[in-house]
Amino acid sequence: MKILRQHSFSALLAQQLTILGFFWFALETHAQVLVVASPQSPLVGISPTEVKSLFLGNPIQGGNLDFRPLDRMALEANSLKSSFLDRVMMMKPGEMKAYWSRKIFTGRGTPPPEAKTIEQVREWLSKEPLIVTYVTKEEFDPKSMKLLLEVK
Amino acid sequence: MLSQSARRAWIVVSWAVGFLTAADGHAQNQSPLDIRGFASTAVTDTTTSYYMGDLGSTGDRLSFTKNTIFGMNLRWTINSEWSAMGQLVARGNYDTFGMNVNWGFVEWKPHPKLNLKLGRIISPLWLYSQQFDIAASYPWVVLPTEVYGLASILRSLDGVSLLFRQPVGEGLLQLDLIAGTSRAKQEFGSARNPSRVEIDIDSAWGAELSYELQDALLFRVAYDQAFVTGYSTQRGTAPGFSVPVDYSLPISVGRTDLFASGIRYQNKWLQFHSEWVRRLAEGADYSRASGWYASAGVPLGQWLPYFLYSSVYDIVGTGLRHPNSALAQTVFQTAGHTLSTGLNWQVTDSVVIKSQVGHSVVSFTNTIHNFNYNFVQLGAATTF
Repeated sequence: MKILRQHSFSALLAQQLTILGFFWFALETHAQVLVVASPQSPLVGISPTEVKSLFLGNPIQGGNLDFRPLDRMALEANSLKSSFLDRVMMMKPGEMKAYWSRKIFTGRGTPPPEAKTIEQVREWLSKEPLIVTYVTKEEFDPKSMKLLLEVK
Repeated sequence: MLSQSARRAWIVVSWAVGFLTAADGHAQNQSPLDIRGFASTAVTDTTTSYYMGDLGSTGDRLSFTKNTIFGMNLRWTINSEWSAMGQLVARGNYDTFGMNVNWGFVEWKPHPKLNLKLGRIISPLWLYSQQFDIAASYPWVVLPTEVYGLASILRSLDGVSLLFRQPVGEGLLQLDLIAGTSRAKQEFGSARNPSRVEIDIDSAWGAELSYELQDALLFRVAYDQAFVTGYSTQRGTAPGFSVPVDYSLPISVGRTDLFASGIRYQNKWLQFHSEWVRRLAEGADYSRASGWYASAGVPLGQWLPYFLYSSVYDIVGTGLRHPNSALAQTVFQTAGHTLSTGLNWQVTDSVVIKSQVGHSVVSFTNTIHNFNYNFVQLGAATTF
């Protein structure tokens, strides 16, 4: 009986660890996305629809201000960019590429610039108060960034 | 052995590849010069020795050259308000390549919702006006001739355009106004019976109103008005000549009005396109005609099967002559339609291979000369 209980406990522990492992993997697969701007930005918040419009090269409601997107380079699979495309843009990388191909070859737009590192993001935000970009929770720095939207 | 024009085209493409490599390396540094390219090729085989339309078919012999296109798109960002853009296209024509500037303009963006362009600008009449030469942009091997052949002379104007953009709800409302002049050349027919129309557009203006909901739905209406003169060159028998020769005839066109509407809808399960164009012209050689098409496809991973029905009708005038040179002066097309199905393979994000088979019916003023034919088309397209 004692052996049977041990086996049951081991099996239960293995099961729980497996479940926790799946959760951890799921969390790691999609990084949390925070949409941010410069602390000097006139924006105080932004909707997911406006973020999508901006990153598709379209203007958003903002009077005469020319808000512009700053994209992030996809450095690895399951990266921040993957999360952003999946959760905010709701587009696959191939669909995004096809969209910008159509825009570029019509002369009606070009894809936004891409920042490779968080240091480049901070540099952009410090020089361009109308830039809107996205970072992970770990990258967020309240001194150099203003949080506009937390994508859950 | 490639012709001189083809060699020039290859040189340009080689430079483009070199620039692209350099430009890509500078992408992180936000180079002000952005260079992209596109290319496509296609071949058509039909069960007829005649050819109706200026897109796609060679009629009497297989040739990739007629539908081979190389293009380069350049953008120079001067500052946040000013930029210059241009697109060069090398297009095959039976055995040679001709190169031209598709469009090229300077753009000023004084306001987030306003663009001003000055230079050679695409006239926004059709859904794919801007991507006429970008075969990777649309699902068919070639654009439906019944619609895109109705006013292909009005593709671009040397002039000015204003683009207004206003967010409305979750989408974007756009108004594009254009005005200018142009000289256009439209070539069609087969290698055995080539025809060419050269048109002077003395003045033209147009407007397009569209509503685009993210990347899912696009609905648009457009209107163009042009004052046109020109002449047509065809090959045939002429008095005093024992062999067929090229002869030119002035064509009567005058004022031309074009009305168009279109819709594009796409989601994970459906891609739907439909357009309608109506042409009214004063002159007898280019007068009235209407065309429409509807196409539906179902994305299945990397594959896209689709159906396309296209029709041209209510043709009045002598603009579309019978392809048989013996009948060209007396027999003129009145209607036609095509039913086809196709299958595309998206090999990578940038490369697509296309196939299409179908049946076309062509009607003439003298119905005894009506004919129909089957066709098969293969094509490939890429952007880079």
